[in-house]
Amino acid sequence: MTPDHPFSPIDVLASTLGFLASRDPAMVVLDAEVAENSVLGSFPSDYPQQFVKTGFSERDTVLLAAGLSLSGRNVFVCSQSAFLVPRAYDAIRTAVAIPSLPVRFLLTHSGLTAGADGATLQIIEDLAFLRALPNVSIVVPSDGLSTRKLVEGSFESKGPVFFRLSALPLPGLERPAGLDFHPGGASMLREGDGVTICACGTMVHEALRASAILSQQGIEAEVIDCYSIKPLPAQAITASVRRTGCCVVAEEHNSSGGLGGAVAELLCQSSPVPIKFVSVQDRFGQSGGAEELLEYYGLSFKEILSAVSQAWTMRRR
Amino acid sequence: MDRNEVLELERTALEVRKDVVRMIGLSRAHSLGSSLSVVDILVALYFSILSTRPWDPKWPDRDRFVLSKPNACPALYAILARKGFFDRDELWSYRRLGAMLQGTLDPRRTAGVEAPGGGPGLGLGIANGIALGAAMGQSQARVFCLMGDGELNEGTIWESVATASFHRLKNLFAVVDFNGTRMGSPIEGYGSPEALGARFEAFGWKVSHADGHCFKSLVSAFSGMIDNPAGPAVLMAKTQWGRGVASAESGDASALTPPNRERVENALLELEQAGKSLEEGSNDDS
Repeated sequence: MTPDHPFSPIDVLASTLGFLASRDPAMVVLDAEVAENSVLGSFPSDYPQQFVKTGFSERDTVLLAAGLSLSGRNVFVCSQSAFLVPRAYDAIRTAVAIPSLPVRFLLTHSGLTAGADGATLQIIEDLAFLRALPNVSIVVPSDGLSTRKLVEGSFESKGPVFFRLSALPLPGLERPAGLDFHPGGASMLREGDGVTICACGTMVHEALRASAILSQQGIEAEVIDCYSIKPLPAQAITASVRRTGCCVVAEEHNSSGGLGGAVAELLCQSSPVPIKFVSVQDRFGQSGGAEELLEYYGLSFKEILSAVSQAWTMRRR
Repeated sequence: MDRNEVLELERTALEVRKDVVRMIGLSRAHSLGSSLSVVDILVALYFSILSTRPWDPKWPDRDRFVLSKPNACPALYAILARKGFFDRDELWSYRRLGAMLQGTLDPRRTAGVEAPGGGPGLGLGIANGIALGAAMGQSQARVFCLMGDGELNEGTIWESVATASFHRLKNLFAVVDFNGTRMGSPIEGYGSPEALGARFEAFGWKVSHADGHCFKSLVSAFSGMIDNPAGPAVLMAKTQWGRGVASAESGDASALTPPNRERVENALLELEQAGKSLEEGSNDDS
């Protein structure tokens, strides 16, 4: 199926939120200063009654969201991940996660590709913070279609949902028709029996690029878009590594606490196989262009190729 | 309000104080001083101001009460039980494993509890959200939030103070339990309730003052706030840490440690004696 959504995750937010707002008058979007980045498009002017600008007050924004949710509103919070997650962690934990309130967080500009503003704004450890919280769902969409479906689906969620979104333009992916997206789900983008590549967000695209080259070398990679970091699509991953016998995890996140850690925790208990990780190697980012940074920090198809060849030689037969 | 109404509130407050002492004695908690200082404020709210339906706790137009002050859960629980939100026997398993009454407020577990709690400085922000949500949904509900003076150190509270004023929340009413004590030690840096109130005024809040242990003063102050809603309003209620139990009022180190059986016994005797004096006083008057 050709992608009917040639848009980036961040491009579809405004229209998706608009669709939800038109359907449900109790839906509210809180904006901790992302509207300036045109992430929300015309939403603020199209739905002024359902839009609250909260400014740079991340903890208070999360508390406001909790209160709105307690009074029956369907709340979305938009904020840059680098500000919201570390600053408001206490409020997220106490006021949203412990009481398990259905507040959805759209965390924009996550990862190294946040841009030239340097280490402070390039959060590479947000998944580690969030994964440690009980009661929450975390998703990292890799294209417009999955973002739209997951955001729409989160409307039915009974607990908090976090969306980790890259600012990078990501083209629509070719996916099997009629695919369903939900927390705990995964989408199989390519089948193969040589190696399992689990990836999320930006790195899904690099994984597909690597798999085309691997195929020429005679290794058929199985590429899983692990958009759901929590709950992890355990069955899809274990079923795949039982066929392939080795695994590579690729993510635009630090080497600890992200998708790699989650997959390793799963596999070492259920189906131990050699795993290699393509991630930021425990150091902070710096200024630079998005593409330059991905290359400099070793987050490209080249590192996936090298990780695959290492995992493949050690694979369980 | 007439004398009988005041007398009834005073009787209720004494019974609540006794339950608080019993709960804290049984659970070996250390929050006696903080809980006793807010009892009269809570009694005034729940028995004279708030519109609630204990038999229908999720009634959409109910008034909401958010307890921000972390160490005063026992007082709120004792009052919710007395209002009939749940069985009074639940009080005796406060803080035990599996108990309905957790050491920190949990709206999912406890009927009548409107917002999560536990950490200092978070309640006002949540109350803002509830008030804004109620206004968006055209509900007549009013939202009350009780903060301790100790937690006003938290920067988040001042973000929330600004937010309430930015949204001109006319259905939001805050109370500061000004007991001048944080975890048993005197708080320095606020000066008087008037000086602290001036900070709220600077943010655009309407400030009023009351004696936090006098029902006439409390009820008339609350009524004044509610009758002229003009944006967020705060009541500075001057209170005494440990009010009603001499050993807790003293504020010495022993007041912070969980009371032993003897101190619980003495405190209950003291409260019973106060009850007798209250009834004798009322008989003399009549």
